[in-house]
Amino acid sequence: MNRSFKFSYLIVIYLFLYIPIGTLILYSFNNATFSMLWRGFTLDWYKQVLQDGNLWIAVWHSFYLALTATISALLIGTLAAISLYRYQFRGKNILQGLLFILIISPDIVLGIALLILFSLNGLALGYWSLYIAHVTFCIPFVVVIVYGRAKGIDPNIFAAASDLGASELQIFTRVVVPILLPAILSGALLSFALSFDDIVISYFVAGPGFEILPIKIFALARLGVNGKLNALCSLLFALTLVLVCVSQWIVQRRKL
Amino acid sequence: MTGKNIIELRGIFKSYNGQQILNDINLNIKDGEFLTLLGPSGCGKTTLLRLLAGFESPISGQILIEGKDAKELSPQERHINTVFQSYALFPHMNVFDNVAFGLRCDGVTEDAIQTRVTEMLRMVRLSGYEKRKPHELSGGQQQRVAIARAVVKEPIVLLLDEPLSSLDYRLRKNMQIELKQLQRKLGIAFVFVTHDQEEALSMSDTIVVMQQGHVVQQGTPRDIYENPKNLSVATFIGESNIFDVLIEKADEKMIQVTVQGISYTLENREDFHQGDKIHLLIRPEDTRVYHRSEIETTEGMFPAVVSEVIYKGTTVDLIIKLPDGKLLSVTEFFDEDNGEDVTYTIGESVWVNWPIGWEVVLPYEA
Amino acid sequence: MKHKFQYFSIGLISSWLGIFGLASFLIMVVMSFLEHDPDHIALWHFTLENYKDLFNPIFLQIFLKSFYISFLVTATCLILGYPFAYIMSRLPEKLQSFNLLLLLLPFWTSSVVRSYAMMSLLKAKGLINMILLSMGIIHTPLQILFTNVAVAIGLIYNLLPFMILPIYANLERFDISLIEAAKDLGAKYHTIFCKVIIPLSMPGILGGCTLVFLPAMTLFYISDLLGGAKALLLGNLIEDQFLMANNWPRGAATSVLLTLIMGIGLLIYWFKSNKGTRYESVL
Repeated sequence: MNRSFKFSYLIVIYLFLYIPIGTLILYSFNNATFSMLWRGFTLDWYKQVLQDGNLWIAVWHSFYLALTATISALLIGTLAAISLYRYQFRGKNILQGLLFILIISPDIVLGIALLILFSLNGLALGYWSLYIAHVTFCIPFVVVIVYGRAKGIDPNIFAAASDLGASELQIFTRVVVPILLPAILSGALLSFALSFDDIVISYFVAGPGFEILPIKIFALARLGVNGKLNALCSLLFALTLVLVCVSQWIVQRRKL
Repeated sequence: MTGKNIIELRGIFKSYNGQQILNDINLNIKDGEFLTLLGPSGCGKTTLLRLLAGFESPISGQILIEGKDAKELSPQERHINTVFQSYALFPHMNVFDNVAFGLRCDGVTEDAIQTRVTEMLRMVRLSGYEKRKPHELSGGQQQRVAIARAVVKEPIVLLLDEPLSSLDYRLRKNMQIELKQLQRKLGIAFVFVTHDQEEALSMSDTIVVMQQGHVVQQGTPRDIYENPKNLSVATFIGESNIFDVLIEKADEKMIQVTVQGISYTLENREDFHQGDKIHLLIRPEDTRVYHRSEIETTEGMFPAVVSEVIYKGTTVDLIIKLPDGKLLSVTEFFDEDNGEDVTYTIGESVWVNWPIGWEVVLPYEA
Repeated sequence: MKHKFQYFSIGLISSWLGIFGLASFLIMVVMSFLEHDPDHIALWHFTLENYKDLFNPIFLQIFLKSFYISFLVTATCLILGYPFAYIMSRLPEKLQSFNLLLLLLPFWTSSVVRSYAMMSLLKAKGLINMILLSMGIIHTPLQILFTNVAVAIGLIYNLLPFMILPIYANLERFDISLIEAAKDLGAKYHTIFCKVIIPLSMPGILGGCTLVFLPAMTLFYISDLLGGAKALLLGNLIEDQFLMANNWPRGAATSVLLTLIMGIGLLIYWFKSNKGTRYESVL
């Protein structure tokens, strides 16, 4: 294979990945309700998005949910990863198996399993049901990332720290956490993104009292393509772009 | 220089999953000595080191550190620190923080830390590297940080677990000298683990040879090399040419044996008797070969044919073949003074002997 | 201290996953054996009826169709993704990470947003039809949206990186000297590819296929948006049972079946790949 063929192949795939998003962004500036014909530049759709109070409540809900779920999943997942790495205990294999199955199993199964559990316990669908569901599906990802990093650590490092007189708490705060920090941060980023974007699980365990953004977008999209939704989705994409760039910048800076 | 015992091991046993790792280890470590635990991998030397460091505890037996039972001492009170094989430097800390880590855990004031770490880094010739991260250092530099980090705690004994094994040959040679100098300067005991017999011989005051969980022999390098206690020590430390022979005659002073059809009378050092089977060991450098033209008589010599010549710079190593097919190794040193001819060609006939008394006689092992 | 910390952290994760992961799943399995009742969630009465229902021709047809679409999607992703992963793994290191970033960038946005974007591209007055019409290739707009093709395109669009990443992770660690060795032994390029590269990247291929095939059966919202009202995927069937037909036991049975399919796929993958690649390919 020659070079130009290789690069054209990559470009074709990137076109496939980016054209839909590009179109979306382009038409969010189009001054027409349904048509794809270009009717002139407008910022009307963005104005409508900004003025839609219900939309912003959904955004806030999504943000709040993702933040709280991420913090909890991070706490539970990091502790679990460190324990899995450092200790031998009964049921360790079962726990690892459970984590693995939770990652690989289709979201829809977890969604309805939790729906059944919540209804049998009489837990009203709303923030708490979403929170539990999101923490549950974020934990395995945090564990895998943090555990993956921990596995790369020379176990003698802990022995060295205790040899130099560090207590168990000092080993944890001065050695384990700082070494794992990059992994914990990327676990946090992934958790937040997964939680903020999730639709399948949320679809089953969300209630009318606590509307979140992906479900709102899904409901709007079912009604058809329109400029306001184009604008909203473009904003979301721009937000993602900024977050990814910032996180890349942080990663690059850490390396230097 | 070496003084009283600072560590005494008494009847130490250790096993994992029913497998005996250490078997009745008795050992004294003297203040200020360079002691090497030497043995093949799996002989228990690293486990022994971990017991001393306090990472593991023995199943039975007693470890006395400065006369106190180690069981009653916390890791801090042991005053023993370790240099790990992989160095185990903290990857997220720079050189200064790595060295300061132990002092900070002890709650030493930052002023004192500053002075002690700076002094320590100067000692291991790493001044100016304070802000570097471990991954920005070469293997030898990482090694020195690991040593500095342990030594700054002012231990009475420094444990080193194969610290040179991941360095290349030349660097290893340099570090051997540096370590030895450092140990003299600090005046503390080093317990050094290695499987490299050459390293052990060139660095140690005392070598402890371990095999399958036992201490087989303990002594000075010279002692171990010249008077190995059994066949496995002899073959582990240095090369040997071994003849299995029967003692034909023996009295309190002498034994008589026949090697390659030549009768030899040797000193009886171990109370051997007539009819005992023995191993007769001759080191390659003690094995002498001569061209027929160099000698007047072949009395007390047996013939051989040169089958390989390996030029090593300062020596020539030969492999010679005896009439019965047995192969011997011979090391000849270049020595311009005695004018000995050390040029050999393959297939050439030579005559072989050794200086009587330089051989090692060991009881036969099946 | 060590023990308190250990018990606390293991206890925390075990109880959380035990209740919300394991217990909820077991309850779902129990539910699948209970009798349906329109007024309650289910009746406490054992039955195999829900599983028998699944062999009803209407459901069977949905299964087969969902399987067929998943298979098509997986095959297309493999054909599109493998060369991509291969080319990427052979780039200089800096370009590799840049390409990785470019590949993943769209996937940090919600997949609903992406599916919606695809929707606006495919619709009757969408960009594709506009271009084709203006170029004179077609004279009446093509009906793409609300067809199986649209669903398949949407699924491929959403799942392609899940095929590329495991294969790339595998190829990236590939020892280049193996190819050189094969060349040295006189192998032609296509022999090297078929006999060396493909077999050695098998764990990555299997991982990718697992990660694409399973979701392709369940991502109901993609079929909802791009396929119109028709229940196309197994996921739609489950969604319907729970939110429309209100027949939870049958929905649970469908989910159990889906899990079984997943289990079989996983077992194949488990035996075909070594332990080390398992967790990595998940990411």
